Amino acid sequence: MKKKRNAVIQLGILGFLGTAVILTMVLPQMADGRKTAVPMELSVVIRESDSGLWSNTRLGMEQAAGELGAELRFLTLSAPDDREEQAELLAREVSGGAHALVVVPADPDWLGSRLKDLAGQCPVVAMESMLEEAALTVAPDNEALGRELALAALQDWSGGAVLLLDTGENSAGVNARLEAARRTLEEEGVQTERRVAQTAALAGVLEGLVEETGAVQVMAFEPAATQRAAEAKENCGLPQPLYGVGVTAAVAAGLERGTVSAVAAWSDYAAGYLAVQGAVRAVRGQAVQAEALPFFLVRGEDIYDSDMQKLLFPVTS
Amino acid sequence: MRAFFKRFAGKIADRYRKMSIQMVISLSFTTVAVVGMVFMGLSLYLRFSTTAENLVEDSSQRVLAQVNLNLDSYLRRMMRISDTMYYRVIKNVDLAEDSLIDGMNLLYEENRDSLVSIAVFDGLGKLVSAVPLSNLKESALPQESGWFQAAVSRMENLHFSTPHVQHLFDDPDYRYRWVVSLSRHVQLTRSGATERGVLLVDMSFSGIEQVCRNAELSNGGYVYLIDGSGELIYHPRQQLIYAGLLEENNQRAASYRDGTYREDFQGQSRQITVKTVGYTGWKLVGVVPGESLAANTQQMFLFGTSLLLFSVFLMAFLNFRISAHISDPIRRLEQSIKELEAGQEDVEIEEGGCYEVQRLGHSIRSMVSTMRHLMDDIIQQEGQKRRSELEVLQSQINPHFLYNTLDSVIWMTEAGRYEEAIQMVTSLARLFRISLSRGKSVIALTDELEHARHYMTIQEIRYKNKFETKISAQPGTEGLYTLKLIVQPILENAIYHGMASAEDDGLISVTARREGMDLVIEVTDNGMGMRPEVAASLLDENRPDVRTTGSGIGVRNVHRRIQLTFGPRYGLTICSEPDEGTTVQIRVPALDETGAAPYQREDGP
Amino acid sequence: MIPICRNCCSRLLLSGLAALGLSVALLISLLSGCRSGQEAQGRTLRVGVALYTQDDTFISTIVQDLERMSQEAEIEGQMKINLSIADGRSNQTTQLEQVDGFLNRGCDVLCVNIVDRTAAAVIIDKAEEAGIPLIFFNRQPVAEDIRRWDQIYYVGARAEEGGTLQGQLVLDAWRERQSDLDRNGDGVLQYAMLEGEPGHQDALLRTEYSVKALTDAGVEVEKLVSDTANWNRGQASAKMTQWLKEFGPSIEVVFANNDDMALGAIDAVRESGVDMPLVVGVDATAPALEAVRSGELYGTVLNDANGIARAMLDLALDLASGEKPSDDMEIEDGHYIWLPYRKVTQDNLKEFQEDQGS
Repeated sequence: MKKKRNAVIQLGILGFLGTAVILTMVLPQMADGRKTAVPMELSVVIRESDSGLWSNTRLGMEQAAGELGAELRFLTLSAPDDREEQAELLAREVSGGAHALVVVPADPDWLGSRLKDLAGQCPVVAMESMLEEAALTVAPDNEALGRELALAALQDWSGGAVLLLDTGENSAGVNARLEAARRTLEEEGVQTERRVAQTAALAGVLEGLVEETGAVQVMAFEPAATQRAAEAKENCGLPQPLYGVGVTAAVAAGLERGTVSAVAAWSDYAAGYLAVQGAVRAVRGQAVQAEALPFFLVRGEDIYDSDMQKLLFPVTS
Repeated sequence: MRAFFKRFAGKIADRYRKMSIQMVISLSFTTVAVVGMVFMGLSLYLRFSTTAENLVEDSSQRVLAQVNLNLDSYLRRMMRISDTMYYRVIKNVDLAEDSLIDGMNLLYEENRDSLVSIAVFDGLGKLVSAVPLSNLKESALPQESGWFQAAVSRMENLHFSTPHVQHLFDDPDYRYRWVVSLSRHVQLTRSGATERGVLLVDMSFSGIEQVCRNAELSNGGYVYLIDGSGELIYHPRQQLIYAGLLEENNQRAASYRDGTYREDFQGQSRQITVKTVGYTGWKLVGVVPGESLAANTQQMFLFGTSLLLFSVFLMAFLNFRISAHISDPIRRLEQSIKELEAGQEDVEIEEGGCYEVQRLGHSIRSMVSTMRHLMDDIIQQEGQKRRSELEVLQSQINPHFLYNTLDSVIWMTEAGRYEEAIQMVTSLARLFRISLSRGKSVIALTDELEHARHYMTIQEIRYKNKFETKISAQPGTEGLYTLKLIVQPILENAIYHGMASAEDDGLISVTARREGMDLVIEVTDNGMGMRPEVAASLLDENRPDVRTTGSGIGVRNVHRRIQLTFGPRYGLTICSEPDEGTTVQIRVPALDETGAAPYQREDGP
Repeated sequence: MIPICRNCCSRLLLSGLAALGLSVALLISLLSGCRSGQEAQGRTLRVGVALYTQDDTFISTIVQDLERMSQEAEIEGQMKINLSIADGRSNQTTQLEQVDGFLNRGCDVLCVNIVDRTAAAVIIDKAEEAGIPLIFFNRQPVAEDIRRWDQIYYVGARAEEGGTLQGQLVLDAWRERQSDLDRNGDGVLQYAMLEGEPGHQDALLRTEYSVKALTDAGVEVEKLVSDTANWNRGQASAKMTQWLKEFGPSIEVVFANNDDMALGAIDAVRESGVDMPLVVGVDATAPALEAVRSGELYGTVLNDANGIARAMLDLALDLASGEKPSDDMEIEDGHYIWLPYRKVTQDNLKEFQEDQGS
């Protein structure tokens, strides 16, 4: 009996060790299999209908998505800044099985209050403006940005009113910039004229606004507005220096030509990359650091400075 | 410390002594096997890890060499375009009359996928010709650009710039393309006079990217390209580095010479291979992250360890079984012997196992059987001895003889023949005294002869002097000893067979003489004699014992006793002639007291 | 020895087999678990779109339309549509890698705007091996390549048609106001041709057929100069500037294989101050329509970007759901879906724009 029991114990240990050997052989293959099994789905909803302005950001997002094994869905609104449509889209994405959302909120306060109901378990990354309940916000420090822009404008200022284009509607980020700029200017005793305008309509409206306010400088606070204002300026031949935010190809051309005097910009590519990276991290339950995007002021002369180049122009041929 | 070791060694020695052979075999085999495997495994593992690293290093170098070749041929192609432009177009055109545009167009169209633009500037930076776009931006200042100044400062060389955004031409699509500028100083001809100029060939960045991008190093490594001062030209994750999201150790790499190094960057150990691209001074850097190397070896290590454990256990298991098989026959043998010692009767001793064990078993088996036979012999002998002794004992005090003699004494006394009665009783007493002889088995010859005389005396009286007895000892027989009671039975036999029919002239003579080393006692009678067959059968052992009415132990007994005691050479010999007489010769060795001592048997009656 | 071995072996074998069986069972359960997790997410249509370059206005219009339409289709069809766009940057090797990437990551339909027409065979082989249907668009591979497999489609417009319509535009204009157009009054139409990328199907055919339309109608034509401007506005402008220096006002008509080049020519003419010749283009992009309205561009031919995107999407949806595409769409030769061109001039501009709903 004792012999038999010993034999059984020996066989048991033998079998266990044999399994261990097979497992160590097979383990790396299983690990690889698990890694490639579930691609993450990320949905990006911007607040505009023209995705051309976000092409650099998109490049950054796609790079991050490719590296981290996520699939990207890029969605635009049919009408810019339509907050209801944005909410609807978000809800649909969540129900469609998105693992995380990246949003450029049209109306951050309004969206923020509804975010919990809409997104549920889905982590949300906000861009451009702060969203409460968002896992991460990827945006430059909007107040500082506004302030810097105002200081740049002040450098060239020699009296007169400054026209501030309020095109952000409900976008808290854009409005924060505007407020910061206004405060800075008014602290220095500059008269500021704040006018609401639709981005799409700027082309026609700008001239009228400038005349109306008698402004010597024009400031815009988002890339789309800056681009439209630059176009309008060229078309109408307005002499007032324009200060804007964001660098698109057209704006860069404007900077070169002198249409735009200075621009506060950040690396769109980096913004997109960080947003997707943050979203993936949030889905995987890893820690997400919130850091403000670094921004910088670009004047026309500096645009081809070697460091500036790298930040402003994506490396494509 | 030493005491501890000593104690430890002592304990092990103790255990060793108590261990069975199976344990010893299996343990020692397993230990040797394990040590061997561990040794082999470790050396293989070490060899593997160094070989793996070397392989990676080799493959990196080879990949880099290939990329270098491709990059080199690409750059050469670009340089050739520049050369063709210069030597075939610019040198053959006088700007006052002709234009460079056609030649430029041709060259550009041919190399459209690698070039962004070809442009010729004069010494002051004014545009002469350019394809495909011909309008300079207003803000463009070629004479202040790096490529212009480099070309102008070193006339004899072709200059490659680092990648930058081209901002020379007015593009209605507002496209910004990254290019690498190849610039050189050229001689322009205008109205026969030569002037300085700069030829600028802007290579599209994708060409270089193409060459470098597909280089895959083992274990997830990558290749990047830097210029002589460490400035990045191409990196697989260039965009991230430019955006400030990633760092690369390119400045450090610029200081390395060609070869393979290990470096630590951001807490990670990596293998770096550097190769310089000719002419441009650019460096190709191959990076293989250390953790992928390690991960491989780690997995190998895990696999190796579990395999080792498994095989150790398997080996132990098998060794146990095999050693059991070898040592079982020995154990069974030991078991059988134990049983034997314990006294078990029918113990089976098997001949199994290896050769030596078989031989052992075989020997033990034969020894056991020999032992058994010997024991049987001893038992038989003992039995025999008992019987003889019993017989001797019996013969010594034969009741029949005693009764008869006492009867004779009684009727003699009743008849008034007192002297014959006294003689008979006296002889009887003497007879018995000698018969007993205080238990000795060897007595003096004289005593034996006296015993015979007394017996004859009695017999004579009983048989009314039918016969006469003569007993004599020849000279030379003095002091000799002989076995007790060997004469009397012969006499008895002679009386019984020989004298039964004698008519007063019966004569029995007993003569003892010395023949060399032997003592011969002859008993001769002149009676009926017997046929030779009868004589022979008298000594035949197999004849059933005939109980005689005499004092009875018989002739055969005497013969056997003599042979048993002294050996087959001695004993009785019977010669008989029918009607003539019988002579029985008793032959024993001539022994004196000391010579007879060994035959003295102390175990008495 | 042997019986013991057999005994040992049988027991060892059993334990070894048991261990093996355990681990295999583990493996299977893990893998199946992963896969079932994937399928449970619901039907998603993955479309990989490989472009030859995103800088091309026409192509980028197609892409934008495609994205918008797929977003709308999602709402209607309850099926998720994931579009992955890859820019080939005018490099066939890059495009091949991108196609590889799509196939490896798993896509249901491949849409390829091939960089090099002659290199289609490689992509077709890859797609055939993976069993993924292939839709070429806008840049047409050779017919033999398209016939290699029955799951290859081409969506585009017949280039000859575009050329012919363009020629007809000029023909009509010539017939209407020959005296204006014929500057040197010799009754011969002097023209300059701005061609697209060398080797491009559309470039070759438009070049040929536009002039053919005129010559077939009996108009005498004289080619003053022609060159390639690679579909590029800036390059066309540079070329035009050169030609203006050379030929000046003797250029009566400028044919451009696409609108960008036509606009470039117009830019050059405007800069030089010469009188604007008759300029015609193909594509009907938004800036071109602007130019038509302002009268600088005489006319253009609509290359239905919207239609192409629509056809591609419908085709992809049909293929993904396993229906036969030929049931709902007109497929010629089992492979080709042609979109019709449409002339646009100042006259029909308004109704054209209303039709387009822009």
